[in-house]
Amino acid sequence: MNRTELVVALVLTAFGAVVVAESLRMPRFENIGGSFATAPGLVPGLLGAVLVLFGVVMAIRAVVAGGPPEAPGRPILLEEEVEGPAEPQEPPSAGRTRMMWMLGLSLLYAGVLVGRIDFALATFLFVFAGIVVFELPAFRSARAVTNRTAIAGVIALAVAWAVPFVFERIFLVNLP
Amino acid sequence: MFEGLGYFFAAVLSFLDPGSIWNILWATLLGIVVGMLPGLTATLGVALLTTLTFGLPSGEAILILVCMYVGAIYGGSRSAILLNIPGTPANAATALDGFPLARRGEAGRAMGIATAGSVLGTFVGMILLATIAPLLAEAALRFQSYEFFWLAIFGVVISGRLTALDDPLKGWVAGFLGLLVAMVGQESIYSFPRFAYGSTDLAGGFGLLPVLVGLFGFAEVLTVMKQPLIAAVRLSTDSVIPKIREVLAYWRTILRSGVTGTLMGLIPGVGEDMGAWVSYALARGASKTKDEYGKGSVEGLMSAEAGNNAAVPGALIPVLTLAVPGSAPAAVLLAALFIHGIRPGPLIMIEAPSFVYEVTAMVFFATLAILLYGLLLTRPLLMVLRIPPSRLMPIILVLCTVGSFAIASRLFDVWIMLGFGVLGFVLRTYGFPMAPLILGVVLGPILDSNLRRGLVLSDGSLLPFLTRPISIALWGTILLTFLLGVPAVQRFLARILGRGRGSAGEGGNA
Repeated sequence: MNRTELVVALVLTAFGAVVVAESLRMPRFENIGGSFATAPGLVPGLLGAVLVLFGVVMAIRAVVAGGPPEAPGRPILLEEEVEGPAEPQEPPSAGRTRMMWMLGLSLLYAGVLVGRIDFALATFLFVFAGIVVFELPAFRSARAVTNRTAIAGVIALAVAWAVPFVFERIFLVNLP
Repeated sequence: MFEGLGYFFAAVLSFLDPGSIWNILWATLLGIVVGMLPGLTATLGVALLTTLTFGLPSGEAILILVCMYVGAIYGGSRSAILLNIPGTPANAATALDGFPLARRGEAGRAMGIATAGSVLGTFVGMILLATIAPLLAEAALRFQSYEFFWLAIFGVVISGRLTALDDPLKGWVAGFLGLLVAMVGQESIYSFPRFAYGSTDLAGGFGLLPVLVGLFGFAEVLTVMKQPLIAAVRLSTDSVIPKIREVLAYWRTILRSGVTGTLMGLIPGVGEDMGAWVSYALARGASKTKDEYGKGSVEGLMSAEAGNNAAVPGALIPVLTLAVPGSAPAAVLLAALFIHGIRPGPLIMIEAPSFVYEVTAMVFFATLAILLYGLLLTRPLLMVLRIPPSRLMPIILVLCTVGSFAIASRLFDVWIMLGFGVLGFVLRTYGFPMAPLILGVVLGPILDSNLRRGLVLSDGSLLPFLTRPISIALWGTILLTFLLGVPAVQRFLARILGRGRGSAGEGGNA
């Protein structure tokens, strides 16, 4: 009984069911000559039903067979877990922390700052903060701190200048 | 056929002006850099460049995009060989034999072989593109609504099956989710805003480019950040120029990989990565030096790189003739074609017959460019690999943000990018592949409009959907793909085939 798979399957089934319900609620436009075949809800409803079916199959599979068949050593094509050259060992939570920081900073930058404050300023702040946060593990001496922070500042300035320049001046594309 | 050659040469000549040559050079170089860097994939590169070249004339823009595409698929081989980290998923098979060669001190030789394989593979694919596309377009003229409906489902199903070999169910779920994503927004018959809930932004639907940039850009950035940040590059001292005799000795492998790669690219939604893997598997099966594979086989490396690069022109074939993408980067190119007012599809040989050959000429020049850079600039380019992800990822995110905004100038697109980035990251964590999802988003409108139009044409009857000859071929293949994806059926078949082979040695029973 593979609990993760089961939860994923149940979420999928629920989602599909909601889609079907919403599709049934869509108007059929019979008053202007529409029919079942032209109903806007036809295709989403069918797709939702297929997702429900897949979800149920996945759930049954999770309970009865313990999840998907074991990968026979074949590489997962879009998510490489290839061993690289020997790296300094790090605790498994380090990756997750980095990822959460990236997520948080990105949401703050692209979701909140961009569009509200000047783009170049927002970009500078984001790139600077991002580089500093991710290079924190390398801040071992006072000299390293100053060096790396300075480099971060320079890179952030360069990006904040270059991106608007290239996009707006050279390629004439709108920026937020 | 000779008419085609005429168009091709005319196109080649038309690109020989300084402006085009400059575009070819910088776009291919940028593509190689994009391909080399982890966190940047060919899809994202082409997507970002599409937004950048939005305002340029169409011929110039498409040339730039094709060069970026070819360059990126080639560029990934650099990091695959030196770092055992494929720059793009298409280069995963390259790492298998490239990295052991590098570890033996033969990194230069490996990179030279990869260059040769990529160049020759693309040439094979290019020739097939120029010959198959017009034929396919002519066959596609017989496609009506019924066939396009089945084609859309076929694309999603086959992509789901082949990109998630161990768990096709997840591939199919991804594909159907993609189809559903395309349903948001105003539909084509009554302009009824589906799943909009009063929001004008949602009524406009999810633009393909922001979704793509989210799934392949932001999600990728998050994935890279989660992994340990890579160490420095291992530089080599041997020559990066391939020996001609060595390359020619493997002409059979190159030809086989080139054809296989092109075919893999041709299948909708199945792209360069399968081009590499299937070519690799076939080369290994036919090889006299099987044991070397995985330990530094030159033949294996060459087949992988020829296969993945041949898939690029291969993926362009359905884009041009059916308006169905052959791979994820090709999906972006398809979007770009529409943005620039070019209408790919079965009518292309009638409306703009020279265009297919112009694209072939673009691929030709891009290939010459990667040969040039591979032979001359390999060492300087390796400096790029020294950029630490901690500095690169924030920059990529800035580009993703700008890229999503640029086409329609709405902030909502940036939020779409963020949302799909998170969604893509979550889905990948649970084992769902991205390629069928993006294919679903592209094929969704085709599915929707053709099903409803077909039903109207047939007065609500399902008969033409099931009985027209091409339709039968399509739904038959779909059914077969579903059946063969079910483990119980696979075991059943294995048992029957095993028994047929007799009992000597193999046993045969599951």
